[in-house]
Amino acid sequence: MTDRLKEQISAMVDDELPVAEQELLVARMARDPELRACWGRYTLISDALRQHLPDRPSQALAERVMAAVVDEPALAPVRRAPVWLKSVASLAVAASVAVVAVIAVQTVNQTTPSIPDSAMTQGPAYATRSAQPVDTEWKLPARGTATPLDDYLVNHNEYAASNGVQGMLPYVRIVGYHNSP
Amino acid sequence: MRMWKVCGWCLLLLAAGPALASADDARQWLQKMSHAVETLNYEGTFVYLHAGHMDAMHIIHRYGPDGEQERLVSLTGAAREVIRNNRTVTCVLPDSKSVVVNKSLPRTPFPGVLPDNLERLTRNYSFQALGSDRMTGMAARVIAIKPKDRFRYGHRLWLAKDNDLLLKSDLTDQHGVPVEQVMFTHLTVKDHIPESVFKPKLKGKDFTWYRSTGAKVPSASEDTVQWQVADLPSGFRLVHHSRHRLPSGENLVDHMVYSDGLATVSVYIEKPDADDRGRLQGVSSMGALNAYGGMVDGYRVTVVGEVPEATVKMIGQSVRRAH
Repeated sequence: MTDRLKEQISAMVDDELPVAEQELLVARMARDPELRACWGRYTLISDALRQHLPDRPSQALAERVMAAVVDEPALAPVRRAPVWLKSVASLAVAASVAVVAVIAVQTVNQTTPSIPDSAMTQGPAYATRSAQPVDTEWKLPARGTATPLDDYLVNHNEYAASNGVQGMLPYVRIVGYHNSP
Repeated sequence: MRMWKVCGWCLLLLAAGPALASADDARQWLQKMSHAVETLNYEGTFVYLHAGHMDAMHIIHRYGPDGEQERLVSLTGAAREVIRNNRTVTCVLPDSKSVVVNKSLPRTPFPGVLPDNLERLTRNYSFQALGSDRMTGMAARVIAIKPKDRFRYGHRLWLAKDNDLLLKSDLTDQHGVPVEQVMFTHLTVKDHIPESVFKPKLKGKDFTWYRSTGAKVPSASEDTVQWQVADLPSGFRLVHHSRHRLPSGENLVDHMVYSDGLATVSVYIEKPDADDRGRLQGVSSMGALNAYGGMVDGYRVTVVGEVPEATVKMIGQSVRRAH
């Protein structure tokens, strides 16, 4: 393999090789496994430099793609469906579209409320809340005293707790409040 | 042509049927959940997300001849814990070296059981079964309770199909955006849980204990000021009124509890201490819990509730002396 070829491969990896030369090079690579290996290495280096690599880079990808292409059976000739079958098929498609529409209406109803949920996990909802000025949040009680706030919380939560839908969790706020630094 | 019309009606019925059944189903499952949470023995770990904070907690619950026993311990940060039985609620707060003891109240089942409450609930919330999901490694049903105005939060609840326990709970604002979330990562139902696990783990003797006195209903003959809230959001009404001392306080506090059937708001009115510094002034929030502090006719008013800011503000600013 000449240096000229290596330069060409490198240029092609960087997408800087003129189109006319690309065709020639690809034709040579198709014949020459050494050139393909070189292409593989340069691509790997390029990807590494750009931090595009997966955790375990797959080796000899070009070789495996080539092998797979060789093993691929030739495409079967397309058979044309008879006209009557076509019309049945389109009817079936129309029917299934109608069914999908009904199901879609129902699932949209069912899933709409969960959309904000996924939006939340991406952060904006909490981001806006935590962006509130810190001094509107309750302060930790001073050492040695229970603040009236604790009193209010504990006392109020007993009333909130006696209310069914809060379930077992009304005291979570007391245990969790400002626990994080 | 007529055939098509019939088909159209059938499709409409198919679509509308589940929606009607959905609200009833949702309420029934909530009742079952409320019962399961009270009467089963279980142990679990969950995460609590609020205002950008995340905490992990452990809960143990059992139900016996003496009623419920429950212990909640923080696994992150200060090892705060709450132990509750049918007599007292004990809050151990190691970060402030204090233990706060209050009397406990009996739990009421999900309010939907009472038709009166149900009517009030459906005026302010809509109930919906959202189908199935998987949570905490279990099959779950998802239920949404949506507020009809901006004065209360909504709920989205994941209930285990097996045992009706609550697996995940989102408190959402009017637009469905979560304000506070609780999600179990592990939850097991147990045959037996020993008494010993409900003892607090107090390390060190330098804790200060605060105990509340028993509450009593103030009588009109007492020489005290009577209070009222002029502006209440729709559906809220007075469910409790008492006068008591808060555990760490010297003064008697008037305590009024307002509820719309789901959300609860407490209004505390007291004479201010000589040293009134550091008291809450204006609105303050803690996840889904909002508080409002202010003065009315020389008395300190504090409003606390798991309701939006607008609600505590509206209630707090409309406290008046009754004449």
